[in-house]
Amino acid sequence: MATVELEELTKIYPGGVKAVDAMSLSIDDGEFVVFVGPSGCGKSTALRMVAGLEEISEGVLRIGGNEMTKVHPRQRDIAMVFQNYALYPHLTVRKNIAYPLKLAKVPKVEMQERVQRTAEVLQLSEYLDRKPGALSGGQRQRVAMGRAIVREPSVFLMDEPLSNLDAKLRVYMRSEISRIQRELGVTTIYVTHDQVEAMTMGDRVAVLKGGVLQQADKPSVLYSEPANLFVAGFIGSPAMNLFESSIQVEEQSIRVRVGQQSVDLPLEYLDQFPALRSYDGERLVCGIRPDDVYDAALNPGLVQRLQGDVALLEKLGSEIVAHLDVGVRRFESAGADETEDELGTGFIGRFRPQSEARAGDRMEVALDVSAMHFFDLATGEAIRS
Amino acid sequence: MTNIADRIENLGSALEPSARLRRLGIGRGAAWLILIAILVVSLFPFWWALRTGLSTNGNLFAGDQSLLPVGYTDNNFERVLGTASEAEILESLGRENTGSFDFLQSLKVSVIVATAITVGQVLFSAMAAYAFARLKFWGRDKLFFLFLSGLMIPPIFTLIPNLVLVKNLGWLNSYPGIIAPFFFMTPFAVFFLRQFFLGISREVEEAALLDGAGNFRTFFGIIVPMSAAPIATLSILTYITAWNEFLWPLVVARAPERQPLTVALGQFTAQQPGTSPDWSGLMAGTLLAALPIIVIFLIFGRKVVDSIGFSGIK
Repeated sequence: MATVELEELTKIYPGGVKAVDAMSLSIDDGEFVVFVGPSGCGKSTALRMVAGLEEISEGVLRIGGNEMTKVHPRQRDIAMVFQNYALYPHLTVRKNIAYPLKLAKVPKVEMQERVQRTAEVLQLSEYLDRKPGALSGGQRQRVAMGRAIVREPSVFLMDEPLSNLDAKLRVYMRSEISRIQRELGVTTIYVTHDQVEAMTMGDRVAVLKGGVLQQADKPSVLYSEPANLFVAGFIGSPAMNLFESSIQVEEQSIRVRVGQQSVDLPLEYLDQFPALRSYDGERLVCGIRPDDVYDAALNPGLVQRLQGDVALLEKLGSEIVAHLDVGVRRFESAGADETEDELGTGFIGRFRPQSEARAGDRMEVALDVSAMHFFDLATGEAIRS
Repeated sequence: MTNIADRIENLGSALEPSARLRRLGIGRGAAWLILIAILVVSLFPFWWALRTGLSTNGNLFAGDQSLLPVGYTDNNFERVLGTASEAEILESLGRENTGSFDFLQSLKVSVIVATAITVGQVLFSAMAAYAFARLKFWGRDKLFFLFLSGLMIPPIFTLIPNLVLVKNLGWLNSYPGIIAPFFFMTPFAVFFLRQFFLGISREVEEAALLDGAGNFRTFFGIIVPMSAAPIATLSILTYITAWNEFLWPLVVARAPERQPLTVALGQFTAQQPGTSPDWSGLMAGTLLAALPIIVIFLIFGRKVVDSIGFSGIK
């Protein structure tokens, strides 16, 4: 068990490509941190630098307080689980799990005990004498976990370990990995591009974009207080509704333009976020999560409303995802999941299944304006202070 | 709608079962014919060698072109193995034995030479291939392509320089002299294995590295066992090539006790004044010399074929 400190960690590839740019993060002992971001954001490179599989161009890495920047991977006391399992196909499950112990010259009796114990934790006991080729994807993944666990390392590194599994198995393995990590209490860094995985597994989630750490915080904080437009657009599914807007501070309220329409925010909002006052009459980016957009007919208590045309309804059973045209275009925050809103209507709401909205109709939606987010148009930073 | 239905019906009648069967039958028949032709062309020389080996020399030259042995005798095989009596030699050869060799000694030389070359070449080629595929060092790819260009140099070009070198080393008529030029690696073997190693998931090696294995342990403990199929293929191909090597041992191994079978068989082609070559002896010797390779191929042939088409590990 150990802390992991990344101090201005930078990776520059030959040719000058900066894959990771001055990433700083301090991970507590026993903490489960998830690196998440779109393809090419540098999350795997950052993990591989911690593992020692990529040379660190600049910056300092400390594990357990000891500098590891130039230490050989073997001597970092870390174990890694790879995306493609990276099992040794010619060895049985038992030998795969025992391999790191064999190299560490652990006495045979102890080695057998530890392999057996690990197999029990991972429910692999009955497969110990099979070769990886005779196992299912989930079982292979557990063997890869076993090979990492059996060493009792200071840090676990996991590079998209579930991405090759089918959806059902992924959900199961997600909870398994979380359970095992909690039981063992080993500091873990987990890389994924799947935000659901990130949000459900991590004690903290570090969002990366273009090699730059955007925000690292608890999942709930990332969701409710995104630091910038990228995080706001990346975290949450469907993504946050983001549109260019302007505000006007009036006597009784703050008027927020939504295309040709407007909604009013209570003035108290300014007490919470005084910086917003300086944007009076200025262009900015406004955001509201689909969860805070309701079918007005079902929510008479909410008075701030917009009129919109229903372009598409996705009836999921437990909810209805409504794509609406309220007269705004979606603000393109680079890196956000654009497929969320292929219709380009710019506005999505999550309605209760009782909603009677019909595609093609014009309807009224109610907004929980207290959950509105504002971002600087030029920098993309959240207006929060 | 009617139009589409008509078209579907027409399509169905165009491919009615008897027509399809007929077409399939013609195709299969043609394929069988071609395969049988290839088989006959491939196996006929073996049969002709066996037919000649089982004939007596005297009858061979009598002009009978029968496909079956002429004047059947197994004395030629006994002669090659050195178990024939003088009377039997006279019967099969039609004269006294003027050229003979120690088959078992030459077999031993062939086995030692082919085995040493196979072990050395596969080991060093695999190590070089792994280095070219995975290790990072300056000028790696340029060096590989330079090495690969060795494929374009005809072996005859290196014959004289190698001979001079081996002579200066005092290795004429010795195992090291016969083995040395082929012992380390060939561009083909390195190329063949490098392509395979490139297909192995890098993550497996990285996992081994994190598990605590160094380069050598990763190579011998993980990569080599994972590459068993292509290494076996290369070994068999190398063994066959080494077994069949003729020119180099002919040049460096003049002493009979160091001559592999390919060279020693030349005894039978030596023509004495007033005699004709000992074709039946030569064919019997050739068949016996080819037997170990045929057996190896029969046992491992499927593996070789599978492995040549093997492209990597998922």
